[in-house]
Amino acid sequence: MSIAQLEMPAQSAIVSRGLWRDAARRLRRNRAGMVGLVLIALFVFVAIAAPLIAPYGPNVGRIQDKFLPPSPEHLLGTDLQGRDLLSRILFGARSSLYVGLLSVSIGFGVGVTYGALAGFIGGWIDFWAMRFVDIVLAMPGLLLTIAIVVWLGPGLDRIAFAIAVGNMPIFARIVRSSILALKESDFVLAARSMGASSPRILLAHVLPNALTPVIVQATLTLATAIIDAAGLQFLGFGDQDPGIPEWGAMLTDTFRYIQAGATFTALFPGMAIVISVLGFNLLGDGLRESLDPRLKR
Amino acid sequence: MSGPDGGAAGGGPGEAGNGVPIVEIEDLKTYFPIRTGILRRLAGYVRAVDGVSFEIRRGEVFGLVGESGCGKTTLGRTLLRLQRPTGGVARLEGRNVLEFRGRDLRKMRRRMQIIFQDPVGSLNPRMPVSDIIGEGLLAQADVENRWGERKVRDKRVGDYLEEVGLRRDYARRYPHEFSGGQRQRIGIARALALDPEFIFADEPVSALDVSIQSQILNLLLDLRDRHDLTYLFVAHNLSVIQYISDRVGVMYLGKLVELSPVAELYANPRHPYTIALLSAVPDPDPRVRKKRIVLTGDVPSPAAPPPGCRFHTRCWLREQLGDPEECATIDPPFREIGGGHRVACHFAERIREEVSTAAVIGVEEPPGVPGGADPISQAS
Ligand SMILES: Nc1ncnc2c1ncn2[C@@H]1O[C@H](COP(=O)(O)OP(=O)(O)OP(=O)(O)O)[C@@H](O)[C@H]1O
Ligand code: SF4
Ligand SMILES: [Mg+2]
Repeated sequence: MSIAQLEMPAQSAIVSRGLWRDAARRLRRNRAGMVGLVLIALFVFVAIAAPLIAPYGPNVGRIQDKFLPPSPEHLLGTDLQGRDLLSRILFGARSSLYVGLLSVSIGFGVGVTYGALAGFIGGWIDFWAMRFVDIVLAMPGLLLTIAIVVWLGPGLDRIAFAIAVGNMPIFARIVRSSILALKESDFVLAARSMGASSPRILLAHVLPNALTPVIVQATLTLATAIIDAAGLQFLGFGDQDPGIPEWGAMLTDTFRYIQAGATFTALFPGMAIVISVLGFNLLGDGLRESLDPRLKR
Repeated sequence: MSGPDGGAAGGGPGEAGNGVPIVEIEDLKTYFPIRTGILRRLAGYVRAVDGVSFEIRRGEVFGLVGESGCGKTTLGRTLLRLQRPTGGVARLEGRNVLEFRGRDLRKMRRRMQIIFQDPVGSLNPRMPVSDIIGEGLLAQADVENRWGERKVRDKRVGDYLEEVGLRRDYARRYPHEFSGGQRQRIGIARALALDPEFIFADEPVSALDVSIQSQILNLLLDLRDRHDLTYLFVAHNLSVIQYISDRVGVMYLGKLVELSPVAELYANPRHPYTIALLSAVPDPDPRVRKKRIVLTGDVPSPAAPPPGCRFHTRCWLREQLGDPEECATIDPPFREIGGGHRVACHFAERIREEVSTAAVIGVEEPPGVPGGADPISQAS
C-alpha cells in the first residue's frame, strides 16, 4: 500500500491513465483480491469448458459402480448412481454460475434502477419507495426466497428470480443512500452552479460514483446467490431435469452417503461451493479497497 | 465582460471597490423545514438565514464571519440559487436572481460561481481535470464561444490551469493525484473558467495547511484584480478575514449584527458579539495584553431564536447594563452609525465606555500565549 502511494506522489511526472486503470493497478497489488480473481477465473473456465475437460458425461454411470472411492479412473470417486463425481462437479459449475449471474443481473438491474430513481427524485416518492424496501428487507431473506420458489415451482430460472427478489432491496438501498449523499456533494453543487442540467448531473456525476459500492455488493451477492441456490437445490427446488448436475442437489443424499461410508461424495461438491463463494467474496473485498482512491492515502 | 487579462486593472487591492453595488440583498430568508415522525409532519423551521440585508460592491472582498451554524453557507448558496430561498430579494446588477427560472437561470449561473472548503469533496473523483473544469464550459456552450468543441474547451481549460499556477498538462490527471492546495487551485480554475463577475468563496482556505493558505489567499486577490472579480468570502479565521477583506459582515444566528469597512471593524467594533470574537484574537504585539471576553451559554437553536435581540441570552453588555428590557423584547434594527458602519444593538453607542470596564465581569486574562486565532470554532 505504502509503496503504491510512494510511487504516485502528487507532483510526480507519472501520468495516470484514469481512475479505472488506477483501480486495476491497485487490485493487482491486492493479494486476497487476486486470489479471488484466480478462483473465479477457474470457476468460469470450468463452467465453459466442462464438456472438453470432464472425463465422463455428467450422467454416465452404472449402478454397480456406486460410491467408488477416489481412484485413477474416477479421481473424486462416484456417487450413488455410479456417476463420475469429478465430471458432475465440473458440469455443475455451469448451473451455479448460471443461477448466480442471472439472479444478480436481475437483482442489480431492478434494484439499482429503483433505488437510483427514488434517490434522485427524492421527496414523497422516495419516502414511500423506501418504506416498501424496508418491508421486503424485514422478511427473513431465505424464507422469502423459499416462499417465492414454492409459489413459482421448482427450476433454475425460478430459483434465480426468487434470489433476485431478495437482493433487489439491498441494491436499491445501497444505490439510493449513495445517491442521496452524492446529491449533496460539493462537486454536484459545483456542476449545478455552472449550469449543468439535471440529466447530465445524474449521468455524469452521480451515477458513476454511486455505482462503485453496488459493484462491490454485486460481487459479494454472487457469492451468497450461489449458496442460496445450492440450499434451494438441496431442498429439491432445483431443475427438475435430473440430467443437469447441481452442486446443491448433489448434497441432497448426504445422509445416505455418510451411512454408506462415502463422505467424499458430499465433501467434494461442498468444497466446490465453498471455493467459488470464497472467490467472489475475496474479489468483492479486493474491489472495495481498490475502487476507492480515497482509501489509499 | 472581463477578458482573460483585464489590463485596465480597476481598483487596486485594499481599495474597497468603487462603491457601486454589484449584489444587493434585501431581507433574505432561507428556512429549512423540520420534519418529524413517520409521516414527516412539519414541526417547524430552521431559520438558517432570517432577514439579511446588505450590498456587495463591485471589486471588493466582502468577508463574512460568525460561529458555526449561523448561516454563512446558506446565505451564499441561496444567493447562488443553490438553495431555495424562503423570501426576500437578491439582485445581481439590478436583476433579482431569485426570480430566474429554467433556461434563464442556467445562463445566469455563469455569472456567479462558488469555491468550496473541502478540496477533496469538491472535485468529482471520476473525472479528469479537463472534464472537471470543462463541465461549466460544456453547460454554457453556445455558437459564439464554441465551448461545445473539444479543442476550444481544452485550450481554455489549459489557459485557466496556468492562470491559477498549475501546469497545462495536469488536465489529463485525476483529482486524487493532487495535493490539497493543488486541488483548491483546480476548484478556483473551474469557477474562473466561466468568466464570472461574482464568486462566493466558502472557507476556501480552512482545510489547507497554514503554509499554503497565504498562497491561495494571494492567488484569489491577484485573480480579483486581473478579472475584475467580486468576492463574498467566508472564513472562521479572523486574521484571514482581516487580511483579505475590504468590508466585513458579522453574522449571528441567521442575521447580520455588524457590518463595517475592515479597518474600522477591527479598530472600533460596536457589537458586543464582534467584540467577544475579536477579543480572542492574539495581538501581533506580544507586549499588548488583551482582555479576553468569554461568551457563556450555548448558541440558541436557529429553529427557535430568542425574542428581541437574538444575542441577548449571551450578551455581556446587557449584563453590565443591568438587563435593560428592550434587549429581550425589541429586535434591534440594523442601523448605520456613520462611516458605513452598521450595527444591530440598542446600545452600540455605549460600547466605548463599557468595553474598558468589561475586564471586571465575565472576562479573564488570557493565560500566557493566547490560544490561537480561531475563536469561533473554540466557542462552539
Ligand atoms: N440542508 C439543510 N437542511 C436542514 N438544515 C440545514 C441545512 N443546511 C444547513 N442547515 C442548518 O442551517 C443552519 C445554518 O447552516 P450553515 O451551513 O449555513 O452554517 P454556516 O454558518 O455555514 O456554518 P459553518 O461555519 O459550520 O460552515 C444550521 O443550523 C444548519 O444546521
Ligand atoms: S441589543 Fe442588548 S442584548 Fe443585543 S447586543 Fe445590544 S446590548 Fe446585547
Ligand atoms: Mg459553512
